[in-house]
Amino acid sequence: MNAHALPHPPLTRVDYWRASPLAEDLAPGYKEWSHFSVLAPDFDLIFNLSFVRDAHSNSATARLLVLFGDDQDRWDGEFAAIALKDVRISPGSSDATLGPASARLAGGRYRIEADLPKRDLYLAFDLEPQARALAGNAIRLSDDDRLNWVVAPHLRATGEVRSGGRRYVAHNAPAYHDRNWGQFVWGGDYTWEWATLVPDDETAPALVYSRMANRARGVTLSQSLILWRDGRLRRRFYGRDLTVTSSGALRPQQVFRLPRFTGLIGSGRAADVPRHLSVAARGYGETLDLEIELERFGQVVAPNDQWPGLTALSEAGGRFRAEGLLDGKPVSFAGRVQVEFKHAAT
Amino acid sequence: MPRPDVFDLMKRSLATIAAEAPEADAALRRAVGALRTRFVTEGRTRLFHLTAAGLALDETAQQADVEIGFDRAIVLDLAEGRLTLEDALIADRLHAKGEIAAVTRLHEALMIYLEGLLRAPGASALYEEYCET
Repeated sequence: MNAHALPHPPLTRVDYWRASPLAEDLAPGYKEWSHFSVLAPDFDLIFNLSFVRDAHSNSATARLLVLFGDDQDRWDGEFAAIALKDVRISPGSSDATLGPASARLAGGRYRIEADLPKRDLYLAFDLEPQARALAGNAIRLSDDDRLNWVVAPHLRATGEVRSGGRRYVAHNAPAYHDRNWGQFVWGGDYTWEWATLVPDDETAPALVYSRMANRARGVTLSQSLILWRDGRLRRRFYGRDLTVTSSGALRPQQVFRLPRFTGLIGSGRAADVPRHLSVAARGYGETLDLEIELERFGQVVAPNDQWPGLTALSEAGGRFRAEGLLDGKPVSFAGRVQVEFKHAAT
Repeated sequence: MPRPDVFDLMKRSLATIAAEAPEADAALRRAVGALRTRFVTEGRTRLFHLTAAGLALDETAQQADVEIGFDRAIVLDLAEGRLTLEDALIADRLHAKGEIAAVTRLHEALMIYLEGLLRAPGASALYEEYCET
């Protein structure tokens, strides 16, 4: 792993768009997105604004993703291309508008909004960071693929979702934000698992777990568990510090997929998403044991850069419990977790 | 302006795939080959086949290798993920008649068509237009 993490930069100095979808000199495989998760007691919400350089032209495709699932396994969302004339993204700015959706950073807080009347879907949230951001540069995904990221690991979200005639309200709910960019192809020789763990108690630690592996998932390229406490980066466990096991499988009656018509491609239930993940971290005289129970997942399907093939991002929500020894003192806390499994779909 | 029907949606989406996802278009042509498919929906029939000019829909009453029967409601249910192909066939909401080999080939072509839709950014606007009518 070739990571050069930059500790604790102010948000406005790290969380900004690196490129514009209107640029004519985007490198092949270039991708960039701004991602938010709200992990309320009774629902999960993913809000993602992105663009990718098209494989066959110098132009880019911008996409809006809203993925919503409640604790009754009721799903809603949209994953659609947005015409570039309706996209406002400026390199150097954190803000973006993609058609009916926007994300802004002002006064140290984020504001996300989307209004999709054809789907009877609306959302608006204010998100307040609780911990300093962390940046990671040139993370190796394969010989050819590199990913950069900025993580704001712990936010509290206040706002609402209106979906299918129902209203879901969150007040000070756990939330997460990251930004990713770089040259990496969907369909490359890599997979990832990326978990954000946000505590119920806002004074408890927040964590990000990641594991990068080859496409067959037989070779782990890197794995890490990063812990923030009292708003600051507190500990990073890497590689052999971590022992990870998974068991069981989530098997919903039918997997909710976006775009919806991709439910017709491939089998309806097979997704290879575990029900349980255990992460044991040991190092520096400290320990942390995580037990993650996943309860539901939806999928987002994107085309591979090269024809043919699809990449599926399985977004699983659930709860976690953490116990261990930090700073020589026992710790025990719990919260909401969201795990993204990036696997090949076909 | 006439209401865009499912045949209109098919023609325009195929043209969009050809323009925006040429590899999907080429694969679709290879998969379809000389297969002649008759679509029967809401009292109308069209024959879908490959000509020198590309994929075509016409009204001539020629023999078909496969016949597919469906209605607008099932197109929307399938596209919205409310129904799987398997369930549609089991529930007899979607009819497929023909030799197994021909039906299998048509299924393969459908999978390529769907991936082509995913790769063609302009396709979603066509579908929205179809839904709104």
